[in-house]
Formats: sequence, C-alpha cells, structure tokens
Amino acid sequence: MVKKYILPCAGYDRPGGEVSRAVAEQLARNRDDIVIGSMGALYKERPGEMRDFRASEVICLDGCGTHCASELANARGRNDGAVVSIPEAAGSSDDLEQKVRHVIDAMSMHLEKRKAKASPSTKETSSYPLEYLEEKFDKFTLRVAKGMLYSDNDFWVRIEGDNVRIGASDFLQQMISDVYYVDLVEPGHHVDMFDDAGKMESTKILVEIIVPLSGTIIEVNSSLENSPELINESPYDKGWFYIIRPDDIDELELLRDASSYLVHALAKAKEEIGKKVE
Amino acid sequence: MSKDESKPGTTFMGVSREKIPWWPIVDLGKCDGCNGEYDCLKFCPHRVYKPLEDSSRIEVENPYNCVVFCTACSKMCPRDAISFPTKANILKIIKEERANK
Repeated sequence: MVKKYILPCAGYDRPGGEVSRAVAEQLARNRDDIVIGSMGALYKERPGEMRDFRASEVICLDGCGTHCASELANARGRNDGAVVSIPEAAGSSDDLEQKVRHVIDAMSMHLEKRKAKASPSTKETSSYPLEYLEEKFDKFTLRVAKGMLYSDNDFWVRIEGDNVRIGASDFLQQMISDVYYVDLVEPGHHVDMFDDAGKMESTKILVEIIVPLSGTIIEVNSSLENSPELINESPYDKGWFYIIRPDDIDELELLRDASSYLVHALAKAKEEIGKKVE
Repeated sequence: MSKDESKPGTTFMGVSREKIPWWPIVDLGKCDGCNGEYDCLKFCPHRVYKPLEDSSRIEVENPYNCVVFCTACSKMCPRDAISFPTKANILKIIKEERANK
C-alpha cells in the first residue's frame, strides 16, 4: 500500500497551522495509509523521515502564503506532491471542525488517487532462456533460476563468458516488496567479495546490494534508474544490477547452486512469515 | 546438506551463525539515541538493537540476528556511532570454519 505523507504547516500558533495539524490528525485517526510528516525532521533530513517521505505520495498543507510545506518538499526533491492551500480550502468559517471538514473535502481527490501499479508479471519476456525451480509456501511461490549461483545474502550470479552478471533473487524482491529507488555505483568501481555497492529502497526497507564476488564493475543496469520496478517484475533478467569482471572466479565455489539456495530461501521465507504471525 | 544447515539464522554459508562474530559495535561516546528517535532501532527489521534502560543510548541485544555483511544501519546513524568488523576478516573465519568441517 502506498502511504500518503501529509506535511502540515508548522505554524502551530497560527490559524493555518492549527487547521492543517487538525486535518492531518483526523485523517491519521480514520485511515491506515496516513503518515504525518514533520517539517523539522524533513528539514534535518532524518533517515526515517526521508524514508517515509520518499516512499509515499506527498500532500503538502500550506498554512499561509509563504508555502513553507510545499517549498520544503520541493527542496527535498519532491515536486510531484499535491499542494492544498489552507486559507483557500478552509473557507471563511470560524469553526475549526468545519474548516477541517472543508480541507479534507478539498483533499479528497488526492487521498483517493491510487498509483497505477504494475501487475506482477507471470510471464517474463526474457532475454535469456530461464528455467526455474519452484516451491510454493503459504501464498508465496519461490522461484529460483537454474544455472545460476546464489549468495546467502540472496543475490544471484550468472557466468557470462569471462564476466559475471549479478542481481537480486526472486525471494529477496518478494521480501522487500515494491522497489522505488535504486542507487548504483559507477562502472570502474572495484569491489571485494561481500562489499556493498549501492542500495535499493522499497516501501518497506532499505537494502544494500552486497556483491557476491570480488571484481571490477564494468557495466551498470542504467534502466533501473527510471524503472526500479524491473527488480520486482524481472529479478533474474531485466532487473540485473551489474556486470563484473571477476578477480578470482574460484570465489564462486563459496556460493550455493540453485537447488541448495531454494532450500535456504524456503527456510528463510518460513521464518519471515513466522515473525509476522507472532 | 544436513537439515540444520538449511536453517537461516543458525547458519550462514554453511557455518554456524554463532561462530561468525558479525554484529554492530556502538560507540557510546558518540551515540545520543537520536534524542529518543533511535534511527538504527527503527531501521533494522531484525531486532538487533534495544535502547539502554538508564540512558538515551542504544545497545546490541540480539547480535546473531544481524545479517552477516549487512552494514545498512551504520549508514542511517546521524552520529556515525556504528561500526562493523572488517569483512575480509569475517570471510577468513568463514572459510576456515568451512575447511574444518
């Protein structure tokens, strides 16, 4: 579920600030998809705040003509947020409850907007012939591509001539859910085995890309910058991260083959689901 | 592979998790508990951390819950108070344990 990050005006002692705070609190009481933003935390770029801010649809509540909320949201990189002007939306009533009602009415189109979500692909149109080992558990179907090697950190390696390609396993993409941001390092970067090289952020978590072997990154999947959802939709193919020229191909002996990884991932999946049931 | 080896949390790369000394080290001289916000505690989904009871700082409660080679929480720390062992040393320990099997 994509959350709505409501950023109320911070002028608490002013009419616009009071109304915007009351609006945010009322929405948070009545809906389960609301995050109330903090101008202070956003200004200081606190990690937790930035995570919510980046992962949500942003709705700024500007309490007066200085537009502090929307200006700050813009300054922090979100110019796609909705902006509601409290003086315009609240009307001329003196009654706080009535003002709150008017503002929530004015926000309705933003609140009900649903981000068009790509449906999970059941048939990958693959650039490679991919065959899978599959195992069903609960509502999950775990797919492990044959012919690849896997790290216990849930990244795959495919040998392609003298180089290798790496990406995230289907299990990892299912666990982290919808990826909305990927930060990759530049070609030429050297990594040692299990170094992190970039990160991906989903609506649930930030995960480092832990590279399963040593080598020099020679190619980066730049299409992930604009289409991070490829990691979810096509983890073993279009969602790859890097092509690497390995330092020592023998390092791959430390990784798992597909059948061993399937057992490992299945056990991990059971534990993850067990945690949610607790 | 034995049944035990497939249990996550108990093994990593075929080595008992308890034999791999990988978890965050908190510099209590730097940690200020993020003024009660505990960014690392909020960030980590593996219940590695807990706040110290008598101060506004953090400690490691479940070291073996920590995902081997993950250092993401250290990057979330605004005071740069979290560090990890050297990955090469940990990999050496893992290789030695595998060789001893």
